[in-house]
Amino acid sequence: MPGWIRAFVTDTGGLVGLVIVAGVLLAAALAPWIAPADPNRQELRARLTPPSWSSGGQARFVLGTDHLGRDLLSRLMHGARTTLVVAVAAVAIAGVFGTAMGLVSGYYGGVIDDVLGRLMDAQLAIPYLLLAIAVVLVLGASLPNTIAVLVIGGWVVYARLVRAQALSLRDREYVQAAHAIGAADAVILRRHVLPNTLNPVIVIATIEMANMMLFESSLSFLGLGVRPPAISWGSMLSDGREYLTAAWWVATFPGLAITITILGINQLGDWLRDRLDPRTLPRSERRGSRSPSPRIEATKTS
Amino acid sequence: MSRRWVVLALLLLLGLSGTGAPQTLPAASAGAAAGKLTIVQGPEPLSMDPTMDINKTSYNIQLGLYDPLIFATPDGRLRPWIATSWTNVNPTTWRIKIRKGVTFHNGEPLNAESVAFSIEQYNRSRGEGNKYFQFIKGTKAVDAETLEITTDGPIPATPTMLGFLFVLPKNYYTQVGPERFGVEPVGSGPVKMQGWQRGVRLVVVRNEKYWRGVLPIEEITYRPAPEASTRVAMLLTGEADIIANIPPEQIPRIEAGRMRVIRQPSLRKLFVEFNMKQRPLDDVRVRRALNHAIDKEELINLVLGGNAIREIGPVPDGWLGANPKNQLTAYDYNPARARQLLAEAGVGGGFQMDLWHSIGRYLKDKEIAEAIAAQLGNVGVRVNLQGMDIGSLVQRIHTQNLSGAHLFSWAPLIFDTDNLWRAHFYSKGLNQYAVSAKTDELLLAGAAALDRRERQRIYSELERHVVNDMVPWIFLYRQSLIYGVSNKVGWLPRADEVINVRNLIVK
Amino acid sequence: MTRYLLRRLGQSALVLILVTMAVFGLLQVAGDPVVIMLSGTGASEEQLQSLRRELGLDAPAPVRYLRFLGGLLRGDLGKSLRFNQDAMGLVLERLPATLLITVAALGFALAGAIPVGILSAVRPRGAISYAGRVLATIGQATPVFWLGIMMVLLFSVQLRWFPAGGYGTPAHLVLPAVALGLYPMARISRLLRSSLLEVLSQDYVRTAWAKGLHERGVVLRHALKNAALPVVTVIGLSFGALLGGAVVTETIFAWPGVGLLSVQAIYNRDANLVQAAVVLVAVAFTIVNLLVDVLYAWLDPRIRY
Repeated sequence: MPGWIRAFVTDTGGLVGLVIVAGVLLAAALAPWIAPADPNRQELRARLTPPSWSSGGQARFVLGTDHLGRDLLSRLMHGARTTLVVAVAAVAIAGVFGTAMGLVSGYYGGVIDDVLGRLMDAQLAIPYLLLAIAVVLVLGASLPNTIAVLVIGGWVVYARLVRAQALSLRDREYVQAAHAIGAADAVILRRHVLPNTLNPVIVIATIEMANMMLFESSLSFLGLGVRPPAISWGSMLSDGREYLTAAWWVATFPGLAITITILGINQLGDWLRDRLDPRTLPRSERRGSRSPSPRIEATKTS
Repeated sequence: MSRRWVVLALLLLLGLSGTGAPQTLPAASAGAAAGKLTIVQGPEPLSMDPTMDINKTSYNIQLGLYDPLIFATPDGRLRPWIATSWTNVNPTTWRIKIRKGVTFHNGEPLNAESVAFSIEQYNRSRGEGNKYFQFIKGTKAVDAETLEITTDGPIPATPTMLGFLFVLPKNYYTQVGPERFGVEPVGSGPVKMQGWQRGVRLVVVRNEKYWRGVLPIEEITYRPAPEASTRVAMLLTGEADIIANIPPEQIPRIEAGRMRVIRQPSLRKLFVEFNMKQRPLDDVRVRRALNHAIDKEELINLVLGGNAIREIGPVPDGWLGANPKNQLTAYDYNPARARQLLAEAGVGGGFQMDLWHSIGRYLKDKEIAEAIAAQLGNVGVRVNLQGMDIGSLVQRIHTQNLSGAHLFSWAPLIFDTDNLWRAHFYSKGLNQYAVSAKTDELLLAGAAALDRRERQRIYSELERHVVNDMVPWIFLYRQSLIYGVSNKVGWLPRADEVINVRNLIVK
Repeated sequence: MTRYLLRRLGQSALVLILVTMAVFGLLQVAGDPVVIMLSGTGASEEQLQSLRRELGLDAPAPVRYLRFLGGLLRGDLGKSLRFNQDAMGLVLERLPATLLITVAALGFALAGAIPVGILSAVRPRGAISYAGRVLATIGQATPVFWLGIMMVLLFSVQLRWFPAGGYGTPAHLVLPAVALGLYPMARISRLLRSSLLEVLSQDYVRTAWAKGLHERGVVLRHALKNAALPVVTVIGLSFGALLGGAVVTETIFAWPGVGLLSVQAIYNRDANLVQAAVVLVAVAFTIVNLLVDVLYAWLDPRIRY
């Protein structure tokens, strides 16, 4: 058994995280085949049917129905798709873009660094949510636009982190040596700088995944989330909040889905961090240290 | 301690130093003492200057601070108020008698001069009030109790329009200017301004010298709370005595807390407006088909929990131009007929249509749009929902030629039918979706018809034309206003979303 | 140091210009406030045009932006379209509420995060550390509006401990501060834990350990000092984010902060008010982070600017 698998099995947190994330991914991927009903099929006369196990519930609506009589379980499964697509796409695009910006900024320094640095400052100086609202107002709320908004707010985290790393790496001997033998900048960046920044980027990316999901739900709360017929957990939760006392299940299940999935992602992220980041490993397992970069933590609130 | 913690302490201090700013009012506990009330509305009021801000939130408070020149009620009736009488001396001139002995809160007498100034101030305003009295071309205070106004052509709706005019104190307003007036308003109404901590609370106390008698309530506090479930919580905990704009699902919570729920049908009518210039909606058979495809009763009873009233025409009941129900085609739910009409129009195979709608502006607007999409889907119309905030929607409706259809509404500020026609059926107005040479002709004729019966005849013809022949809308319903009220309040709300302090009683 | 500060200030001015340009551009595309103001009233195009003229909205966008910049230089951000009041004044009026909730939320976050962070690094299997981590994880995994609504239901309606919404007394502060503070609390405690783990494994701590000092003494005297550095940074950044970004919490608890004000201004297309809020928040953010930078240099002699 390879070492990493053994580690996973012995580390229950990571295992739990993996099971949760894999389960959600499966549900999302297979939603069209395993969901019991069309998630947008309304049956107004069956609106707010409770879950099947409580009194008044019906077997065909396992988790009950929402305010338009749509099957909650099917909506949760399809909602997982949108929610994950939004979070993954936002993290991936922001990660790639931010990493590229950070690499260029940190490696070249000088004027480029100044310009990019100010851009990052400007980005941080505008409250993210306000920016998001303004952008959604202008562009309209749709799946690509929601992702765009999340990317606009998300890339700086990676850029800052990678910039700090690139800054410290470019003076390392092996980079200097590659330079001296005439390697092109692009090659140096790709071969020598980028690989050394990837681990922390991956760790941040898992944290950001959770962030993006929370943020999407905040946008939904403000009426700026994905719009029908797209379904996201955030919008389900936000729509359901008004029915809390009348029909608890409408909001509770999407809420639970969000919380449990984020828990899973965080567990997985913690485990990844412990694997990838030697700083937090037990002493016996440490292999050399990296300079800490205090500014890598993103802060977003809503 | 480490120096690093000093940094932290400094940061915290920096924060705290900003919090020592003076607060204009002591924290009041709601409704504790008898004779005091707290009313919680959603958004916060912006300005108390009625020429600047006429949002319902602000208007509700302004209606207590000021007196309207004429008291217009949502059923279209007019009561003498500050004006004791009004006559049309010639088609474009009105002579208005002003009540004697009324004074503003600061002691300034209210006379014809004040009214003339108020009209001019509305017309000078740089805010929402700017539009309403532009039709008045001249004002003249003949003496302290007589005002003459001249209008731009014969306008029979003038007295009703003047029901929207709040009388402002000329000297005080000129002296302090619009900016300060918006914060420290002076009117002649039953309550006067006590203090305003913006975004937190606005307090009014009763005017002990009100000309119509003193209110039974000593003090009213208005507070904002944008989230509906918070408003309900505030009612249940006693922080609020009246809460406005409650979504239907919250009703059981209020009733379970042994508070009263008041449902009042409003004048706000919702409809789906078509783009009649585009295929296939340019065919009246298609528009009729879509009208038949919507089960309005299902929308009202299931999505809105019964908190709406079915409507088949645009003119509010009892208003000039309202037709008896049997004169208007009702377009009852009939999917078979809808499919047949679509087939006749050559789109029996269905078609794609955008439906633009607001999110969070009207009662369950997003849900209604989704339900409409599903119902239209049953007759083969594939609806693309385009939801957005109301500001963006209004922008798009008025400045773009929006494809497909949009879920929209109309609610009157001024209780004359002319406003309805100009808002939606006039080719020189903001909204260009339901206009034609015929609507223009009729609405202009009606606006100038000084004889009331003639006006009634023209307007009812216009309504029949719109509903029976033109079919520019899917006529839906008017939504209800839902208020939560604590047991110590006695109150009957009005249909125009207004909370009139004159009707409030504290037990 | 002075040169560094001057350079930073110059750059901040540049940032400010960038920010205002972005906001101005967005609001241009977002539309015309006059249309929203007069929708449904039967106003004619001429009436719209005359109101636009009155409000100075008829000039071309670049001209209006230059006017705005000119005003900014004189410290005058113009009047709010809908409030008809000085825009800067309106924002400053909300600043106490915003600072209060920011400080309270961060205070709550730190009060929870520091013990939890320390304990979970030192005694990862202890009950308190476990409970703290669970709380932190939930705080980091729950949408804030959901948390807020639940807290209102439980602590206001059921238990009657705190008012459901509003501003003015210490009791009004508790629920929004906790709702807003749970997320940074989770973040900071996790950060503290990982930086403590790192510091604890370094040589000088091991030396102290070897000298036989009491465990708690080791942690507090040596490790915490170093672990605090990244935490301070996060606090600085959180501060900025909270200044204008607490919109959801402010909405739930009817808290009169800058965030809610600016969101409503965006919805109303009240350009001057939005600009004033953004400029003010950007300035505050810049000041706080400049302060953090300067204090950093003062704290840690190795850092040079």
